Amino acid sequence: MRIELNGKPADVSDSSVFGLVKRLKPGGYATVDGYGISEDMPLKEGMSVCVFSKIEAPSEEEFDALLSARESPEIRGKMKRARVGIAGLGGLGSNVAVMLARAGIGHLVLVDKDTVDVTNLNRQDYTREDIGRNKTDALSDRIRSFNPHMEITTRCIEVTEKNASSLFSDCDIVVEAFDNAESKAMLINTILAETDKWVVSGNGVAGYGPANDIRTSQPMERLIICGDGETEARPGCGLTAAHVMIASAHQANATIRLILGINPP
Amino acid sequence: MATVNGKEVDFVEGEVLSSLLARTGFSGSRIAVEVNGRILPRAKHGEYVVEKDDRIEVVGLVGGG
Repeated sequence: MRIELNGKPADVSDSSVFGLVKRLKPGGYATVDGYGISEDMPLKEGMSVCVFSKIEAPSEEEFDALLSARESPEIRGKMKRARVGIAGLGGLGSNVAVMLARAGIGHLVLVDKDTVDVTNLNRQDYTREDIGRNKTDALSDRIRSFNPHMEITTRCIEVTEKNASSLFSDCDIVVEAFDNAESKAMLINTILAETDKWVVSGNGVAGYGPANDIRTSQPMERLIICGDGETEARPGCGLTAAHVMIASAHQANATIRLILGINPP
Repeated sequence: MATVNGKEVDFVEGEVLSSLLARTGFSGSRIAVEVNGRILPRAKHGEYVVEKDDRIEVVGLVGGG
């Protein structure tokens, strides 16, 4: 019968999914329509099946097929074509970048002038081995460890109002993930005034307030703000992984909605 | 009457935006402003003269990330 196997049409005579797995990747596992199955089921005409080895990482084609099956080829296509810039690779930016990369985005532009230091490790997606490395290099390596097939452009440079538009000229959307309030304002003003791109900013992510205080809002035509809008980081009101990552998840979610054309984003 | 983030505010004829914003608690280097649906560059905050029925949206940025 004709099924879709790892993204391609295939004629198979196996009667069940587990039988197919045993033949192609003994000891492996399968997803049907994007979801892992724990119990065997009969193979049916037109089913979309991906078969994976339990011990080897998938090839680029297999990986792509899994994401397509999970999300639909239309969504997969939009995610693959998307080019998102991440301005600042700290508590907000490193986490947004990782989430978008896991979701299968095609191209990230990672911009930050800083190196990793030990005070970052309470919330930023880096390891002890990264201390002293440029954040652009460390984060690229991190992303490649689970998604080696996407494009990553790194720019280890300070963003100013003079270079911001050109640094993100090859992006459709800019995620504003700086730490400093003046830099945040500078980037939002520059990208909104000089380009027609959307900006997804994290604003007000400090402290131990209720998670429900963190919201996604759209105060301007091409500006999305994720955060509580008020709580500034200062001594006694610091930045913690759980709280910051709620805001960064809002940013990643809003970015994906923009990519998929969901309105309002 | 003009509005700032949906709230009506009084202003003096000929008043520039930066003056009106300072009175409503927003200042200078940590804000982004949209007037009637269009971003107003920062260089213009001290020049733009507020008009009746202007819809002004202001975002105040705070540190932390």
